Amino acid sequence: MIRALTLGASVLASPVGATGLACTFTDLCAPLTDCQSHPGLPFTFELIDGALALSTAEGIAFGTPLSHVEAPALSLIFDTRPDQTLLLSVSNTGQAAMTQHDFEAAGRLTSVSYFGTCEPAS
Amino acid sequence: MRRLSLACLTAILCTLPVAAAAQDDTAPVALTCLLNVLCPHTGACRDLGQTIEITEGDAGWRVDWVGTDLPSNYELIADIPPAADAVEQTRLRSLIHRDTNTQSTQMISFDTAGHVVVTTHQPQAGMQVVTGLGTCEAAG
Repeated sequence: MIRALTLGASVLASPVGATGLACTFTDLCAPLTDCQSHPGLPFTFELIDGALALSTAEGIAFGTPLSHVEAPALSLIFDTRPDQTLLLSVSNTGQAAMTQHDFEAAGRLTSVSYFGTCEPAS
Repeated sequence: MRRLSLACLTAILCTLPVAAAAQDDTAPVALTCLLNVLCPHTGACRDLGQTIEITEGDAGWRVDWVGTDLPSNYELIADIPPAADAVEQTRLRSLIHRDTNTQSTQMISFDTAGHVVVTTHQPQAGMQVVTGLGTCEAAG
């Protein structure tokens, strides 16, 4: 479970918009494989009660901002149970990377990173 | 969670060698891991050969990068028990290290079957992302 980390509301000041963060990922990379281009994989992180949240098949996963990353850049972690941990980072120019550490049902731990851009959602 | 074409990507990763390193699920973690592959997202993967030691102690979690002076303070961010119907009863844990100086975040995930994945994000430096893979065994 997500442990209590220092939450900083100020981290959400920017680039998060009134309703959240709209991201489009165009490259998917897994170690030891070539990256794959994608025409645009949309991910929306909704702002719910002041926190960015990701809707998954299992429910809503709230992001925990990492306060050591200074705004307007941001990094958040998401515990997307039952089998994943996500790290999302957005630079001050809107460049974004999201890495998923995923435990597969077959008993394997894998990593996939998505690259693209994020912008305020309004 | 969107998975789209991830199945094909992860299927390839599934061919990675796996170390048998079953650990008592209730005992404090003490693992010696060998990161044998390093993959920057902007280039080809390369051999690494870096040993890390993951330990759970009274003062919290440590990850020691053997032979380096890298910081060792980590925080547990996720502890995911095996699903009741899982094929393999494997527990997944994730740690992070926050580097204030470089504004980077390192996430290490490992399971009780002996896999470890390390990913570093550095959004303030042109969004650099590096991932390392390896295997673990109980520290002797």
